[in-house]
Amino acid sequence: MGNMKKANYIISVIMLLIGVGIVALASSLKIKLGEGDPGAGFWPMMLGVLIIVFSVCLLFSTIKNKEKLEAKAFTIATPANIRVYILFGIIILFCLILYFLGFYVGALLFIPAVMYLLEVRSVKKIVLTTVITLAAIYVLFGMLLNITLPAPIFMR
Amino acid sequence: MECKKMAALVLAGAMAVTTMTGCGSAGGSDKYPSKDISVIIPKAAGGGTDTAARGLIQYMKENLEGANFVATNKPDGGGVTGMVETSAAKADGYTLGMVTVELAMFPWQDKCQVTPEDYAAICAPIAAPAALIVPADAPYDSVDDFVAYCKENPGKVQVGNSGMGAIWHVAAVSFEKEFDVELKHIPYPNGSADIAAALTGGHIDATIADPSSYKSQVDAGEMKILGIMSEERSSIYPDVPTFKEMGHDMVIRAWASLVAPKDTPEEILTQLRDAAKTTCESDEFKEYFEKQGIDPQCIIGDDCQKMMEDDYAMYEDLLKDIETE
Amino acid sequence: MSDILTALGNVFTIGNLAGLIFGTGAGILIGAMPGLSVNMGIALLFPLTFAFQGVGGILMLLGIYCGAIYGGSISAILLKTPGTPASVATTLDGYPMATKLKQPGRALGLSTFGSTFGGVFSAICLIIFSPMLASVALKFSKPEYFALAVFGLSIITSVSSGSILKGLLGGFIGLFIATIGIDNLSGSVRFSFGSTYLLGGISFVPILIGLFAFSQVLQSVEDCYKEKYVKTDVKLTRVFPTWEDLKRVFITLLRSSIIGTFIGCVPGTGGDIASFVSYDQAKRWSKYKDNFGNGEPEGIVAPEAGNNSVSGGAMIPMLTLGIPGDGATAIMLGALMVQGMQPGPLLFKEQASSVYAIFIGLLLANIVMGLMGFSLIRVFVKVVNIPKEILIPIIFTLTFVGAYAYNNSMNDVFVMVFCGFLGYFMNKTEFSMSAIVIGIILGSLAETNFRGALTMSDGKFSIFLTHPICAVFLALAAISLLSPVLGPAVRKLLGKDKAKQETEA
Repeated sequence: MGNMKKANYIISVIMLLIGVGIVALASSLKIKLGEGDPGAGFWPMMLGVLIIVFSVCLLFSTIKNKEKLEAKAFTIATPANIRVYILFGIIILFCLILYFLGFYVGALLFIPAVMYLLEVRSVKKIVLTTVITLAAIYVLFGMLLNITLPAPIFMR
Repeated sequence: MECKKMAALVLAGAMAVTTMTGCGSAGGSDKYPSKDISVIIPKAAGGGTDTAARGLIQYMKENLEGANFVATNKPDGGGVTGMVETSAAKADGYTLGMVTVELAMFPWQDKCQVTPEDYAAICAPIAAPAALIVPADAPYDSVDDFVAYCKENPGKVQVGNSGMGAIWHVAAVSFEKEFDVELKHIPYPNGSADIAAALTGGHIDATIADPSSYKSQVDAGEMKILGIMSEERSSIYPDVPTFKEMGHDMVIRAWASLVAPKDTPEEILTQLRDAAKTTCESDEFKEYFEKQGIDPQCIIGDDCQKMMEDDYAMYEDLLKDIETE
Repeated sequence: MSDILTALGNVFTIGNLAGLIFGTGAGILIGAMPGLSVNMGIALLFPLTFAFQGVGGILMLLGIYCGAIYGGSISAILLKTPGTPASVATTLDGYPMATKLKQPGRALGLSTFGSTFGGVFSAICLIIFSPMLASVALKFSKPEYFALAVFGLSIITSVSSGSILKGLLGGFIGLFIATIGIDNLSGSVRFSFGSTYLLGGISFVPILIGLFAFSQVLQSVEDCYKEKYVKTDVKLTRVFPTWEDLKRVFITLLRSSIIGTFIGCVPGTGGDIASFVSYDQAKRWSKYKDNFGNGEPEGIVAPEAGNNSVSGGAMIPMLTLGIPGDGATAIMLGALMVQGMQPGPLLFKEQASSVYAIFIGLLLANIVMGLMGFSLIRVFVKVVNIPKEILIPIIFTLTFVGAYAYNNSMNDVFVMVFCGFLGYFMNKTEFSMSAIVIGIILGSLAETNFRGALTMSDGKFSIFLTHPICAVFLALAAISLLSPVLGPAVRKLLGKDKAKQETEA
């Protein structure tokens, strides 16, 4: 179980770090006030400072509204969440397949895998969905718009 | 059980697709071209480079028997990705690409590693010269008047460009050096449309840019072109003098060339260059470009390679003085 | 008069009307698909225009243009997946109405009506006020553009109802993402860490698809776990908005259309900023402020009327001055020139009948778009009836295709997936994703014009106050930004005063 208090603490710390990082990186860029363009570093520097300021604000407002935020809960480790995390894995795998074997091969494996995860067991349903989706994409992108989707690595 | 069946089905399908798509490429013969030629355009669809590239390959198709060009836009990394990809492609004539004048500039600005020497040029359909453009009601009618005005108002004359370090800014800086004046450079990163609006609205005093983007305003008598930085006068504006005529050797042009990777076989290059030559000399091709206000060029093969390498050498000096920290 | 008759004769031929209808249909489809942009649709179908003689090709492009802006709202409402950046704001109330209130037909009806109204309104403005609006738009210089961008950004506080602090943080992150890559003003490279991909900046379309579509599908995977499959069967009794709805949204429609038309005719700004500003203003003036975000009709028509009315506005500087108002009109400018027309001050004098043909074409394109929209709503709604376990893999596949097709880049796909994973957790922690996207979209407009204005003024900040239009916009933006923060405090103060008065009395 996650709750908004914890989440806000984590967010404000991450944001604080990002803000500090931006300020550090921006300080190596040119900042020159007073004559013409204030330089490439001015705007990011300003954003970095604002992010730091507002993440500190978030931290304090979270401390102030501790009880109220603690009551706001959301799920992060239920079986439903775990299914999403498994899906994360499938998607990362799909990205790799996409890179090496191209789009059509990848999608041919990806769509059935996702449907299987969603507890579809009817082979007919799976095959139909896969074939129709890919055919439609091929007609729309490949034929009508002439957009080439990623090809297998040995064909590039 | 069902699971196995499904896996088998999927596998069979996957194999079918691979073999099907595989067939297309495997059926090789000695005659070029025997399959689709892909053309990498390093800019987004709809821009100037894209229009020129698509126009060129559309007409070139008719002059290269059996050819089918497939254009792919790869605007990632400000165009660097697409240009690098062309140079790294298999040198078999089936991957060509457009490269722009930025190829001659970026290496000096530490933005990419590839140079014109990594490519074999086929042809350049456009090479837009830099021109000095001012509003029609401006108090100067020639480059000399403008220079005199700049000298009276040092650092006050606002000149629009498409971004610092980009070609039209470099042109303006070389103008400053040549005439020993000081201008105020105002960047418009979205390019010509915004500069045209700013010039018409009276927010800036001049711009040094490709005149074809301002054709309708010039024709309507709202803007005038004082001089053009090309070798010869433009066919669209024959009345505008070149800087060369005025005794200033300034040639700055934004070209886009169709190129192949460096080691592409000579006979394929010859075939492509011949097709490009016939295309560039055809009337329909010229008409297509002229209607859009673009002055079509016919710079083929070695001439094109020389132009790219000359510019590459020229920008080494020019860019040394422009600080892009 | 004879010009108008010639123009009518030119437009109303079977071939031309077919081109217009084909264009509109293709436009709706392109708009509804995230990853396919309006500009891309026009650029890709541009070669087809050569097949037409005379105005036919232009009519087709006008159809694509209008259709694509409208099409984005369909996926925004039904799937919480804005098809174009201009329909990001439409998800805010469209999706809740379609799902929470279970009225997808009503939401689509309102968006279709809003889009059509905005489009027709702007076409009429184009016909009547062209020269006048063009001259006002030219008054915009860098400080004004900066102010307009800030004005658009001020919507962030009104979209992040969960937590304004987190909304602002998201907005700043978005603004920061927009700074990655080559800085167009100085030519220096920022935050690219030596990567060629980052050199050109991260394009916002993959981020948009990741944060909205991809994370939304992940969320539905979670939601449908162990949920017994119930056959949803949304039946529509009507597709046209009810009289009550129309009365409720009429003022908003009008206001948004005016905002959109004006923003359209300022060169370099487009449908995205128009829809943000329209939504923000609708909320500000609405009687039903608290209902925004929960499926408020005004929240649907405002962004849709706003972004569609950009079409007529953007044509104004293009036709009168030869300066395109946005990316799509820039490509259209090329198409007009290929057809032998030269937009600009001379066009009205020399080719009046062509100008009228374009006017009639734009008006017609919007009407055809509306008719098509209304007659297809019943088909669109069927998407909701598709079982989740079939819809989910399909949308997943489409997000990959969309992210890749935008730039033909594998890196964009990885960015999209990463943002999708991130978005899944942000959704849970009430972190406003719209705020990030708005920051990215408006970031470079804000920064380049801020710095450009300072370049013009030799670094003096007073330039933002001495330009009247700029100062007014900035003041409005400040009010807009601060009101959610200060509003309750002021109300409290006033409330207390009232209470005090009552006790005193």
